Amino acid sequence: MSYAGTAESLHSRLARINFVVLVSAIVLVTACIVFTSAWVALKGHVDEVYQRLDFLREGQPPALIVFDEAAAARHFVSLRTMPYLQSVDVFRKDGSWLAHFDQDGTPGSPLSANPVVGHRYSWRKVVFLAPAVVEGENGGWLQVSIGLTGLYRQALGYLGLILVEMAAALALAQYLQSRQVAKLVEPLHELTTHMTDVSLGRLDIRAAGSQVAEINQLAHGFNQMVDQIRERDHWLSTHLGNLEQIVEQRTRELRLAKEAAEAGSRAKSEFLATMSHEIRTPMNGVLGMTELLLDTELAPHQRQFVEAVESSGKHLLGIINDILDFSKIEAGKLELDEGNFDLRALLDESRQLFEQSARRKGLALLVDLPPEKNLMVRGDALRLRQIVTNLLGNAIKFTESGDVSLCLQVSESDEEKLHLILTVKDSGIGIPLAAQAHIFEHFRQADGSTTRRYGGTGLGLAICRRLVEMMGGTIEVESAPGQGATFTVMLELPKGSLVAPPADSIAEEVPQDAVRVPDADRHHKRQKRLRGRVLVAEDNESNLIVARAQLERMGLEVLTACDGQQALDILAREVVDIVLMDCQMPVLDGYSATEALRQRELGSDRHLPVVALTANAMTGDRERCHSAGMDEYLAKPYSVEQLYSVLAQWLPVERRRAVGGVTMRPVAAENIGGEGSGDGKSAIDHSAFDKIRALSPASGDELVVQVISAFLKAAERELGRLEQGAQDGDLALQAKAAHALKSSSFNVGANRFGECCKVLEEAARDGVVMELPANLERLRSEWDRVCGELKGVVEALGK
Amino acid sequence: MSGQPWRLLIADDDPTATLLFRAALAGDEFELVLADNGIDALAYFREQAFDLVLLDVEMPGMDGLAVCRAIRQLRGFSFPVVLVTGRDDPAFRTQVDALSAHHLGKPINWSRLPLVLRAYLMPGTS
Repeated sequence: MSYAGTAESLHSRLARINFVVLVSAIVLVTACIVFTSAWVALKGHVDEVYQRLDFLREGQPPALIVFDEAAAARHFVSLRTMPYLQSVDVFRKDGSWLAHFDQDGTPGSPLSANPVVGHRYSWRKVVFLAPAVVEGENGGWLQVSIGLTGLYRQALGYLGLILVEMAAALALAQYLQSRQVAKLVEPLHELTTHMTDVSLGRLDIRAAGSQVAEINQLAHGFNQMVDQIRERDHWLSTHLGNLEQIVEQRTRELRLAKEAAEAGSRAKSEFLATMSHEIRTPMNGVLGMTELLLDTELAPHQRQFVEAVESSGKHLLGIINDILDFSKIEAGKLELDEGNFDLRALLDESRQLFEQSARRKGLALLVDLPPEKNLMVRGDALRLRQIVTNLLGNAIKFTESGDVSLCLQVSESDEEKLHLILTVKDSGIGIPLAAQAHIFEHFRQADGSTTRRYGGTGLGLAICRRLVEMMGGTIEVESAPGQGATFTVMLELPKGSLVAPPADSIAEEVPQDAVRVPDADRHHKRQKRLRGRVLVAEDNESNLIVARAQLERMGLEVLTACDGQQALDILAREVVDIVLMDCQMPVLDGYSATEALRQRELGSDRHLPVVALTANAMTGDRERCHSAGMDEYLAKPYSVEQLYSVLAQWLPVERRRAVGGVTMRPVAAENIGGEGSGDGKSAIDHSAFDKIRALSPASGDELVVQVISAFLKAAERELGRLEQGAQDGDLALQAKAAHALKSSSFNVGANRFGECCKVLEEAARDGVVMELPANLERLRSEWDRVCGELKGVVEALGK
Repeated sequence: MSGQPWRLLIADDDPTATLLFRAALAGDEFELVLADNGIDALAYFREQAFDLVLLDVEMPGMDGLAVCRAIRQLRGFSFPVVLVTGRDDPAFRTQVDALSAHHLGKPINWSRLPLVLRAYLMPGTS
């Protein structure tokens, strides 16, 4: 903000003021003086003239003057010497001229009719009229006039002089005053400079005082302001520090809260995953066993009992699946699949599934589907099937007589999508209006008695609704008590592309959750026998028995392992065509085992099919299986049909070429020093030696030998301690020895050995005494290999 | 960095590690004093001047944490101490942080070791 353009400096303003004041004063004074002097001068003249006139009258008898021309002329002389005389006129009593004289020679003006004694002013002259008294009588007039031009000239002269003097005085005054003003204004300039400095950040400025009260005040105020600024700066900076602290604290609090929330979410997922696994595994055992039992020779009453067990088991499984599904959905952990499938076929299958149960109840199951051959859409077939199954199952369950109808209407909503209206109508007991609001909520059937009469968890519709909503659709119910119910699902699904129709409809895709397999016809099982060798890795004994029985019935040879490590060992020794790998196993889980297997296969074109057996089926599990290198997966509990179809894909009736036999020959001495990076069975990762060599370019081999020798010595010592600790049951000693062994073994590339040490160390630290002997055993055998190889390396390098 | 070599005190009871330390830190840049247990290490530390101390945590006698604590009492919290260990649990980490020490995990990347130590010795440069 500046007025620089229009503002004038204080200096010039003051100068102007001064100038104006001075000029006015001087002009005023001059005028007065000139006027006064002129007036005084004039007065003087007038008085003089009177004096002269008086003198004349005193000196000469006036009569003579009046009558005597010559005498009159003589007196002119005295008059003539009068300064400024302009004219003299002598008039006789009657007004006629007696004498006239004019300086310039102008003829005089006659006497006025009524002559007045005295003087008369006019611009150019003053006219005096004096009577000439003769013996007491007026004998004539004497008129004298004096010119004022001279006076004027004089005045003018004064004026000029005065003007000159005035100019001089003004100049002097200006000079003097400018000096003074400058001194006065200087503190202001200084103040301005200070302010600029302060605005640039220098707060240590103080303005000097001044003699001038106002400027002093200004300086004082300025100083106060600067002080305040400094104080405020200081306050701000400390406050800023505080603020940062507070922000930091809040961020930390938020971060902690976020981490807690994430931990909570993770805990939930883990819980679901564990529950899934824990629950499904024994269910697999139960159902599998009952299936096997039913295939044996049973007395009728025994068959009845077993069938009852199977039915209860399936029922229980249904309930468990519902609960797990619901938990998953509520925790937001359920993801919809995207795949192409034939909607028409899906609905047809559902009809097939329920035909029997409907017939048994004496109900007619009507289906009204659009006439097109097939209706390809993209979506989650499994979940859609779940919805339809739920609705149909409910309809049949709650209907004693009459019919159940399934109807699909399709319209194209645009180029890409199909608008679907799926209706399930029944003539059952109906749903009272009050209950209709709640049936889609969990744990609410129409009333508690319904559960008791009709069974069910009350979750089915809740799951349905959530699934439908996840697909972006709506589900509604229309019903009145005693008049049945109509459930309407409205969905939009994108059009799908044609997929080859599946051979066996039930296992067209590997299901993520147990498909509720109702009373499937057992005769389906009479399939073609398969040939081959299967390795089943599964930690649950009963599941293992079931699997073995199932596979042997298919004509396959079965090998078993109860953990991932065992599986790998077996695979190293034996030829196997396919592996069924349980994902959760102790020691080494299915994922890691498969990863290790794929590691081994690197570089060769062997690829052993691995089918994952998993109870988890949570989002991301499928990815996990694939990224571990698994080819397929089966969700527990799985049925024989499912197992068969998966195996049939990978095991053609003819036996494959030996896909197994990923046995690695023990690393011969010649291989040392080569590129071996985890060369399968080799206990040593030779790249570690390269790293050591890199440290000492000059004497790499020597260094390697030194390091290995030092390692072997130290390791013998630690192993001794380990054995001692194992004997004494001293966990701490074992942990320490294992730790020491672990650290140094990585240095020489004995990675697997190091892992064994790590496992043992952790077991000892956690106090898991049971696992220690097994770990120790493993460690010992690994050590033999390591020791042997290292000695071989030393020998080879020594040459 | 020219001129004086860095003086390092290294304590590790694993003989393979000793050899590898020597090899990895060979040359004019570093001068090493090696001890194979905590008590000796502390004694050396008291007698001689060092620029950085590297301690294996799991050692017989005095373990790395105890030596570090002693160093902290002697020389304060600005002296660079590196704790080498295979353990990674959070409780352990808190101890390391409380002692203002750097942490190096096992297995050590030997070829990068000089770089890492340089970074600790001259913070701010990398």
